[in-house]
Amino acid sequence: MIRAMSSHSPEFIVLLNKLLNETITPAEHLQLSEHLRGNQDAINEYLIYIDLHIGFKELEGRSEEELRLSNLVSSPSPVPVSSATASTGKLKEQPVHKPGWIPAALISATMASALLLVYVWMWRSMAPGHLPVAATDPLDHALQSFSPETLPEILPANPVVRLSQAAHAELFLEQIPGVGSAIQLGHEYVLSRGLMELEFENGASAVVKSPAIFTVVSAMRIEMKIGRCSVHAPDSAHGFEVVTPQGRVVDLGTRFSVVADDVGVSDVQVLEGAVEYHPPSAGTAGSMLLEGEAVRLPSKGSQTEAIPFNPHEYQSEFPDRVISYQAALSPDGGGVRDLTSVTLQRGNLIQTFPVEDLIGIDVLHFSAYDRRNSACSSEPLPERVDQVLTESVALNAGLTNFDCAPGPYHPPAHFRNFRERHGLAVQFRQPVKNGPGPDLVFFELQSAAYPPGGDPFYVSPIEDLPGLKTHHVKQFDITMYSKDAMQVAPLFTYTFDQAPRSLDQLLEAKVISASRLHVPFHALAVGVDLSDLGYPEGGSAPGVFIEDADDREDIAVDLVFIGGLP
Amino acid sequence: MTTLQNTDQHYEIFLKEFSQDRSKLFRYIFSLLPNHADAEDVFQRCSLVLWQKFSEFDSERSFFAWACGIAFNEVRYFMRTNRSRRLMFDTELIAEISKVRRTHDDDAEDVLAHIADCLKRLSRQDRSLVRKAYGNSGTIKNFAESTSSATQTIYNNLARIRRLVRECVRQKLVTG
Repeated sequence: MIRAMSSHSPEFIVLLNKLLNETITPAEHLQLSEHLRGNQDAINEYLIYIDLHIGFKELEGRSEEELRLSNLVSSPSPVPVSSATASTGKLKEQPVHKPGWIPAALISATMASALLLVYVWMWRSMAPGHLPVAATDPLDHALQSFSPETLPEILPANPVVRLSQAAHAELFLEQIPGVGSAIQLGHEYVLSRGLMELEFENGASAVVKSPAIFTVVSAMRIEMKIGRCSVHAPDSAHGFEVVTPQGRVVDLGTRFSVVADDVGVSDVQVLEGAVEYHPPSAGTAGSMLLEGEAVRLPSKGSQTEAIPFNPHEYQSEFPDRVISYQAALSPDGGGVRDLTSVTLQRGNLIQTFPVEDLIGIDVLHFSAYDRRNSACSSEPLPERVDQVLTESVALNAGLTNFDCAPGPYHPPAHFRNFRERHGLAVQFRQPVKNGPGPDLVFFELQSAAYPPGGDPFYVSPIEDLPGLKTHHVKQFDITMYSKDAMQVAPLFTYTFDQAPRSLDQLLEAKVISASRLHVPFHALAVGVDLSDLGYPEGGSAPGVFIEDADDREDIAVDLVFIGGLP
Repeated sequence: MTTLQNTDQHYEIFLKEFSQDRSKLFRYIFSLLPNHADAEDVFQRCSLVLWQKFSEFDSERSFFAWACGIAFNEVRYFMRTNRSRRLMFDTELIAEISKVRRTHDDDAEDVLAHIADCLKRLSRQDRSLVRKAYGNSGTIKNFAESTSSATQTIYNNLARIRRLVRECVRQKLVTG
């Protein structure tokens, strides 16, 4: 029987709270429904509680995101624009921006053919909890009215689990959280590519390798439907559990891996210490597995069997790559502009390089097959247009659309003859030495309508030496799949009167139109190892030649920053 | 990078309208389906349908009103296909809620602005709890069960905070 309640009665408010907490029972839900039915006062109160709930969610989600953005400005090794401008050397010698450039021209963006991507992008960028592209509702204004002195009160809480690393990771239909961001409890992640390392507040860490479907249930438990999970659980995380369809593995202070495959078995390997495993058929009783031992947990009804120990099942190392970058917010708002530093893993060491320590470049050659929109910037173009790439650290300014001729790609027969091909050749202001891991960093612009992994490109030496070769960069390290790909401030794309076929033509070409791009763009980053171009360890490269690697008409790499690592 | 030569004004207009009303639209959907996972599912589907049907939109009309009509149908479709495994209001009740919500939609905007203001008045401890409970993308239930505090204590404190903010909002609505 449904008991009568007033619209402000404690019973009604309790039901509303249970509804919002998602702990309401079927009987209580029915009681709530009957109370709301035909009762406008109750519906009004219900809607206010709904607004409270959504308002809390939006405000807290956004303020965390805003704090993340504001922290960029005060990152550990920020490079103030003024000091970089005053610097005398290299990108080392690169002033950041030259005011007083002259505006020009117009090109624009369409997305009509990319319906699905538009949908995915809209969903991702506009779902509640994200910073809106165009904030127009009162909540946004109220949030923006937070005074700086109120910010310390809303510092982000420590999440139960956060993403500590990701490498070439892609989640199905959602973005990889930014490195350091919270992992959602109770949410099923489908890792279709790459690696993610999760760090728990109790000190445990878990590396999940694709393909994997997993859910972090709590600080003490992760569920793996399929996939490989390598756990390090220190004493503070004693009792950490990995649950698969074939059983439960409980840490007893150790390093272990669990591989749940899609044919119904789970393999457990103990690298250090011991675990207790509970096959479903064993009820609550568990068995101990010690260091150097391995076991296969079958589906219910079959027998557990010992298998050979394979220490390589335990994943602890991540590939060398660009891990993240830092950039300062544009003074005009709308995203970041100036790169301040880049963080890479090189030879298993994580290093951060301030942008002024990176080795700068000069343009030797620029040729586009057909495209005339060869530059972009949020500022008027400089008198010498290649300076948009060589004298700027703005991530929304660079040389774009040096497209290739249609047809299959043939690597250069003689690298020194790069001027005979379409592409961009740059010379480093000092030779870049081939060290461990990436030696060069490339940044490009991308929107959600184009390949989320970045526009592929070829990179070749500019000299002919034995063993040198062309390298195909198929995917960026920081991609649209990751929230670490920062949105850049709005920019213009500039169209010239002809497709430049040489650096001289680029410098002499006239801008005929400029167009402000209305879709959000993000800065992607990738590191390139000179070993992949055939340079020996310790050898050095004077420059590189970059060519578009996709002959689709609307796809071309758009480089906004190139630097060598010192 | 987007490099096509012609501006697609159709898309830009859609994006502008959608950006302006996206939060309101999600709140509308959540009012009918008060479960985050469900509401987000419908919001995604609705976003796609809005884009697909945007050519039918009469620009003389309110985009939000048009979007609510489509969202309502998407909610009903979702209810039909998921009723067996979810707690949901019935179709008649969501029609009632929809009517009230759309009648007082302007008020809802005021309420949201007041919520933001009232949140600032919470004690540091309460604000911290709200941030922890709502700052990540999990549910309140998941958050409560993941902390070392007693789950019911978390729920009780959140109920108290909601009541405080609700009272603060009520006063602001009265005083304008």
